[in-house]
Amino acid sequence: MSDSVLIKNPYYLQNGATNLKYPEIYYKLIYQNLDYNPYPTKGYAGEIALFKQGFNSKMNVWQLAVKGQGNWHLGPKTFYNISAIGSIKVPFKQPYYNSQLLGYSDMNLRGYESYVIDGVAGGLVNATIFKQLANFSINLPVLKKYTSSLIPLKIYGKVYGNMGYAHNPQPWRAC
Amino acid sequence: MLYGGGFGLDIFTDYDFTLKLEFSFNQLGQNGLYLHKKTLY
Repeated sequence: MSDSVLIKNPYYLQNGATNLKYPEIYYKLIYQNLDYNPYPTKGYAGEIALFKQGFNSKMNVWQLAVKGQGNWHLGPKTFYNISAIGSIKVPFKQPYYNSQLLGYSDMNLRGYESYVIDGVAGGLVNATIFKQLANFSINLPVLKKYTSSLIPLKIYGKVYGNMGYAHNPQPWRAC
Repeated sequence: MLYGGGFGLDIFTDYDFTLKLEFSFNQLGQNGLYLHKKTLY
């Protein structure tokens, strides 16, 4: 890491370090009982993961991350989805490098796409109502050399709301 | 606590790819049109 980064943020890594190498181990349990994994409209899915990053004072994180979602049919081609994601890292005293939360990875809070929000504990809940508006195929002969020239498309309209929270006991470390 | 919402379209192909067009807003009065690739969560 460049020294200039450390001047801007002395808390970027633990103890003012400029380089970092660490091992990571994790155990993850995944449950999926969905009608169609790429675009579920019915069923449940969940995930729980325990991460351990580093084993010394430069890097020492225990992280528990959980995800869950449910999908239900509301009516003809109309569906409802609720999903939630949460994460906690201990100890809470972490450098900036370990404080990524909302806006990173799967933690997308809609309405806050232009932001990232740091923290060591937090999560979000999403609710979406969606309805299939169209289901058709378009013919693209240019693709025939590689695959079927018929490209199936489904279009869904949706409305959604979400809320999220990030706990950051050391916000000055993001300066 | 942070709140947001919006509406949009999901364009899904049978090749496991979904393009999401979303108009989102937040409690700060900010809004915008965003493009995403759908993930499971």
